Amino acid sequence: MSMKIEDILAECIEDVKTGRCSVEDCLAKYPSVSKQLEPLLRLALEIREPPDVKPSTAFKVKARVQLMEQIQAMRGVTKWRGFRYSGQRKPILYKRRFNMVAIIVAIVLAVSALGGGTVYASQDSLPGDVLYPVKLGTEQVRLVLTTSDTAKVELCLTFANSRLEEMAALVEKEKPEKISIAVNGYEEAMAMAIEKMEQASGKGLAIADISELVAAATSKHLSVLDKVGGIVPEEAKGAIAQAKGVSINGLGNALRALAGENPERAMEINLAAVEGGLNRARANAEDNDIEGLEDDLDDFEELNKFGEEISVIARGLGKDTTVEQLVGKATSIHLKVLALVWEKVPDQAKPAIERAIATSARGHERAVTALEGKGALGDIPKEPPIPAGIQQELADTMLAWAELQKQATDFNLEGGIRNGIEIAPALNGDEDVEIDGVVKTTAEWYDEAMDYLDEALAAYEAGDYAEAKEKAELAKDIFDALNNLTGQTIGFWNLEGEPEGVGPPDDAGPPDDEGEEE
Amino acid sequence: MHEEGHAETKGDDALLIQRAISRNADAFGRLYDMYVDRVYRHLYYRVGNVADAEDLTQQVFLKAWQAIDRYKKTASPFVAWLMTISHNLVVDFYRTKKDKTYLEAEVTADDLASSPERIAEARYVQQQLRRVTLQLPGEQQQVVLLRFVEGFRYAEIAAVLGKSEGAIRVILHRALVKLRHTLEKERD
Repeated sequence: MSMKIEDILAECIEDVKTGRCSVEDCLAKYPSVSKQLEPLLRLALEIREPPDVKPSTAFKVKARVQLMEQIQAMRGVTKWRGFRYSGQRKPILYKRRFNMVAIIVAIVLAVSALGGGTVYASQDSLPGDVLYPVKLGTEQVRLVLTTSDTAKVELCLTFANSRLEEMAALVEKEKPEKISIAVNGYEEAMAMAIEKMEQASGKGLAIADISELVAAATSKHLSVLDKVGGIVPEEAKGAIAQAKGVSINGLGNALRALAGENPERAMEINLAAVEGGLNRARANAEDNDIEGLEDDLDDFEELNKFGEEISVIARGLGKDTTVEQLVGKATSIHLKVLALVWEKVPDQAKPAIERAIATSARGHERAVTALEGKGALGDIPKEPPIPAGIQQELADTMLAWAELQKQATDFNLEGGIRNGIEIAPALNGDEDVEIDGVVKTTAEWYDEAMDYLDEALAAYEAGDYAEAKEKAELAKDIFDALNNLTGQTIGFWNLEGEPEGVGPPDDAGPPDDEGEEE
Repeated sequence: MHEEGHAETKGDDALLIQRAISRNADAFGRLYDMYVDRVYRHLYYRVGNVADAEDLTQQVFLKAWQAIDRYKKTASPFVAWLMTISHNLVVDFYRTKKDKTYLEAEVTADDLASSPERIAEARYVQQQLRRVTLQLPGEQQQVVLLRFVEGFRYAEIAAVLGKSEGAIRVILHRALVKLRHTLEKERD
């Protein structure tokens, strides 16, 4: 069957364009239609691609931003009719985004005017450099051009990471005075990441992925900040401490959010962060950096509190078995590490480590109690593995702590008046106080605490330091709760500082860390 | 210039397209980044000025987002589908516009290896071809542009227009015959 002219033409165009044959070859191949074919084939080959014109960068970015705006607006309309959004939210969001278009277009135009090479060069700039604002501007453009919450959080974490790198680079270039700029940038990036995470949560979206990203990133940030903190000059230490605070807050927020969906993963990340802190503490102990060690132990305490929160959330979700097993195993290791550190440090640093050991031991005991109830203890040691020498030290510390809390409680119960100034109102003894869900009167709790204290002293005399520490801690917790009943003493100190001539009860008052916690 | 065929659609951007079909705006943004230059160039060739090309480029992507559910029903390259949207928008654009000056716009590429005389001559021919191509009836014009200007294969054009390859060859043949007649008339 002979081919149709359309098919021959199509074949010849293809063959000539791909170089398989020439026009003449084609015409020779189909002599019967060559007369019709030739002009059409030559005409077809004359039609060329258009010139390689390109739209301007400013147009492309502006159009992209507007496109995303329109997409969001379309989505907004859909959700607006749904049930998740409040009446005021959409217009506010729209207005804010609209203004952002103008800002971004302005940035893009400025960046276009500077040229692509400038933008590229700016990527290595540091705070104080001429091109640093360009670097920050391009980051903002990237952020606005990103629409999904996850991608935005990822970007914010990338920016946070850049700020950390800048801090390290500034130390290297001996420009510590500029570190606070990078720290502020880090704070902004982290705040944005947390905000986006919370927004996603507020929309009812699953945020396990996002919160895990933030938690894992902040956990690493802490490690980096610790290293940077170790080499910055004195004048920049405050800024690094500020960044660490931001990082720990971010970690806490992310872990809480993650725990709501995946408490096991949240606990894994938390324990990794705790171990990171512990390793840093050990390194600082070996370097005899007591200040650094104490900072690390403060972080350790803070991270352990997150662990407690995760445990509570896991219990609420009925997923606490795995979580408590993780805690039981991890605290066993932590306690051994802390014991090693305790032996290495000078006496002045020992109390801080003892506090950390007490915290870790509490976590261990809590995990053991929960697992025993479920018959899921496995190979986790029932008793926290604390060397006897440290046990005695811990019992000493806890007894002293309980005694201090008792003195503070006595001060409150009697009416906290010093030098004619009322610091705490007198209590009658019949006020109801709730501790761990149990309500008793002030007097009843006081008696119970005194019983624990007596038992603790008896156990200490008998050489059972673990028991002594445990009972002393129970006493301390009750006295602590009684102190909190008024809430005035500590609030007074925190707000006003120590007024002249008005001090806390002699040798009384909680240790520093408890005071801060309040 | 671009290569013939569009195998990349089956590669990395296939995932982006799937995500965009699932209403992932970020994935769609990435597709925009990949194809905005190509769409703009095509539209610039069609309308001959920056302002209209920019305006239409924006419209193409917005329409594409609105209709992306329909894309999965075809087997054509994504960019070819964008070209179809472009074509429809250009047709609408000129339906309301009596001004035909766009046909005279100079949007031809120079062959830098040639002499100035040859460049001038080739430019004239290209200009003429562009003008008569843009006066072809809708479907013929679309096939000529997709095949010769955008470099799509017959199978791809067939998929995007929902026709058989044979039908595309017939349309192309008719389009070339018509082009030839128009050019001959003009040259006479």
